[in-house]
Amino acid sequence: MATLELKDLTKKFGDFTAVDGMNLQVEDGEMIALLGGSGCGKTTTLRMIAGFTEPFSGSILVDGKDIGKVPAYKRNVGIFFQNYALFPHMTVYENVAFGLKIQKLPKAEIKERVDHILALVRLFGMEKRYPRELSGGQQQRVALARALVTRPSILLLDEPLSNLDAKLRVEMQVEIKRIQKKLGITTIIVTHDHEEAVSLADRVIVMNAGRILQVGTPKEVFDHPNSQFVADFMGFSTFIKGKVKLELPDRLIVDCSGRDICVTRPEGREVSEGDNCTLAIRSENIAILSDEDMEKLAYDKNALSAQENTLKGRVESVTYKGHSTRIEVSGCFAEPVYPAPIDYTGPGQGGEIMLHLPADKLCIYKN
Amino acid sequence: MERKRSAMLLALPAALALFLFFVCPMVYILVKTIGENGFSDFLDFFSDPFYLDILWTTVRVSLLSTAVSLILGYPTAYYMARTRSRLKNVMMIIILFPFLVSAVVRAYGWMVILGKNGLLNQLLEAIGLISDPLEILNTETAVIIGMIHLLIPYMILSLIGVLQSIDPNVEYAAESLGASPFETFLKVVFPLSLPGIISGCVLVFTMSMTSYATPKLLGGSKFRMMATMVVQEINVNFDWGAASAISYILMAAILLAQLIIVLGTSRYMKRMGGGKNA
Amino acid sequence: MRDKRSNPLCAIVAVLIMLFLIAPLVVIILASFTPTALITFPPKGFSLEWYANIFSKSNNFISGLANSLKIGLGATVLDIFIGVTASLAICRYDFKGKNMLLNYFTSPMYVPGVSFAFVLLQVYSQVGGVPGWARIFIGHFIIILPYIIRNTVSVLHVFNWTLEDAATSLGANPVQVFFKVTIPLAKPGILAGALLAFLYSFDEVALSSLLSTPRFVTLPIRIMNYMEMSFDPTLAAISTLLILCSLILVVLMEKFVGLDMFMR
Repeated sequence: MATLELKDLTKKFGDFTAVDGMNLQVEDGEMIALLGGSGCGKTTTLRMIAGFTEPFSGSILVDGKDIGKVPAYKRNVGIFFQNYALFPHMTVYENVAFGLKIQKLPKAEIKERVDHILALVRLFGMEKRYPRELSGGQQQRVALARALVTRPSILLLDEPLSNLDAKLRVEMQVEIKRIQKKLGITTIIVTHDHEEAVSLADRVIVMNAGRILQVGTPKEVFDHPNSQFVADFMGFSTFIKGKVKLELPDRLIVDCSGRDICVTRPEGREVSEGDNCTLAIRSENIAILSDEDMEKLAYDKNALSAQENTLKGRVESVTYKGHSTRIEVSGCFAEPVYPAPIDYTGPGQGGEIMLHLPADKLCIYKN
Repeated sequence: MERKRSAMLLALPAALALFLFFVCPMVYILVKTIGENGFSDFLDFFSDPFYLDILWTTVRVSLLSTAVSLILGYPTAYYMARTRSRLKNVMMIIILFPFLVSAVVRAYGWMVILGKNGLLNQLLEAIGLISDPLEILNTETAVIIGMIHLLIPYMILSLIGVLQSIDPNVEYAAESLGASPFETFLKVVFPLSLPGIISGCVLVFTMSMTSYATPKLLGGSKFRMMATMVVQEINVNFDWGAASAISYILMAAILLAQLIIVLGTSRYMKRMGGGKNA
Repeated sequence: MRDKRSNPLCAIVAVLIMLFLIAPLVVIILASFTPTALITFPPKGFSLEWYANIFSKSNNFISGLANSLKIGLGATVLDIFIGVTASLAICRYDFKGKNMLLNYFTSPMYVPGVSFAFVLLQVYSQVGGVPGWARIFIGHFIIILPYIIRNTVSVLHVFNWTLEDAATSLGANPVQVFFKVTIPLAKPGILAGALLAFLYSFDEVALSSLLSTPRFVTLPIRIMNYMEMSFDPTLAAISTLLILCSLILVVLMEKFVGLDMFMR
């Protein structure tokens, strides 16, 4: 159990700066996700904390103590590797007991602790098997048990769920979170999957090109990305270019391809009249209005704000995705709009469709 | 930087040992030979029909052994690559086994079979095919037989590797498109196995060129190849000049063969889009 | 389905080649039990006298065997140490000239045994006073190094280096990582390479015949010398013993390492 602090952490490979002056504080028992695409510096950060690569500059503090000079094998950092890195020549028991045997603990204590942790990851009775005799999910639990059994002060998870199929992935997400909370261990998880990050972490750190772009709770990052890049990364699908026409105390009116769109004013970001900007919205936040809805709107004075952002478009394509239907709509703006309703019974290709973009779901970014 | 230093440190003992006991002697003797006698030994070699004949014998025996190993090794390797029969494991052991048995022992076996009073002559006389024993031992034929026995396993192993990596479905695809089995072989299997053929041939050819025990034991005292000649020049004729000329010419021939394999396969690999190792 | 692809002609050639490959070995084994000096078939009776002959002091087979074992084991063990470290240097680290270094390490493979032997012979005659065992030992030590390095590199080439990081993160220091993770996993390749290297040394003729002294002769040279003097089935007897040892080795290797280790 420990706090972790990164101060101005920088790593260079030749001319390439992989991590650029990173600052981060992780509380005791907190679970942090480093989220970003490949080459954003998240794995390099992890390797520096583990001690596999030396920082170019800056420092890493655990419980306030600089561990820069401590060799990797003395850092007491548990790591879960992306491809598990189980020792193929050892049984499950030997894999998990490895770290304890290195510490030269008495046999009885090793047995007790291994048994305990195997029960925790629900692998009791598998001790004598070799890694190749286990399924992917079981291998993953062994890797987790092995990383946890030494009671590390910090746990690092490198793309923990990337090798699993969809069903196992959800199961393991729950499992990892359960165990992490139970042990209260300070955890850093590295991932490129925004859903994994928001569902596991207490705080999400979005990275790109070695720098932190946004730090926030999963909800903040998911619903209110602070830049167009983060929005794109968090799965926003519709991006519309425009120009701020009017500033109101709580709202902005933006001219997009000749249509006025009303946007709730973002907190902490300056967008003023005359600025070129981009609006972004998640597919699932775009409403499709039926004829009945339209009639209701026409009489309902309270729905005025909604009426403002109501647009007519033409369906270009309809793609059934299983859990939702992705629709491409043109004619609203210069850019296409992509709603994704769960149940879609509206017009097919070439038909007319009414869309509503809720003002509070729209994010605005200055260009 | 630190990693590079550890790498250098780990490589140092082997690098140093090779430098001291391999590179230094090789360079020193080459410089010394040329410094003392110039190139006269080499000129003598190439102007003496006796030596040229030995060179030609060596190349001829090696080419023949390579060709026969390929022609007989290819079907064997193909069978082993494609069969699911349990015989395959037995065959694998039979092929690997000779690696573990000394060339001297194997040559001895052939001496027992091919000798004047050997088993082959006993057999042929017993069934009345011949009245006078055949002279096979101490001829070039015996050397080639022994050489093939020694080297065909290398050829088969080189070929099995590539043949196994060829997806059998490619062959079915060719047949489904109307290619006869022979056309399938010629246009699909053969071109795909070319890297294995090249490496197998060069390996067998080089080993045959430099082989010593087999020609010495099966060829008799009058049969000479490059390697046996080097030893003869040193131990019998005491002509170290000639020995070093032969020795360096042999080395040059081997390097040439290696060069061919490197250039040949890399060009071929490029054409196949990097092959499976890309 | 794949069976369909095995053409009967190929099968026939394959079987004939197998017979061709084992024929001389079978002949040797049968010949070793003939009672007569001239080997005939079918053998006229059964005798073990040629086996007894191997152990007769004057034939020097046993001392030859001892010499061969000393040279072979010594050179192999020493080469494992320097060869495995060199392979680690090549495989674990990324640096320019990596391939050059590997080519350098395997370069003795491309030099004919007699050529290298002759070079050493000339150096020994210059230096003088090199003892008989060392003359052959240095040659074998160099010429078998590529086999160890090539086989070790071929396993380490596909080695999952994250395993070393995993062991480190669990508290193992570099020495512990090396002996508990790296070495156990690279063992099959190292063993296969060591076996090939040892056998190369044990069976080597060209180099040994130039470098041996009357007082230090290896077993294959001893056998060749014996052949020149007499051609009786003592040769078959000692050959049979050598074949038997090889057979035991191949079975052991198949059991502990797997034969495809040799197919690289």
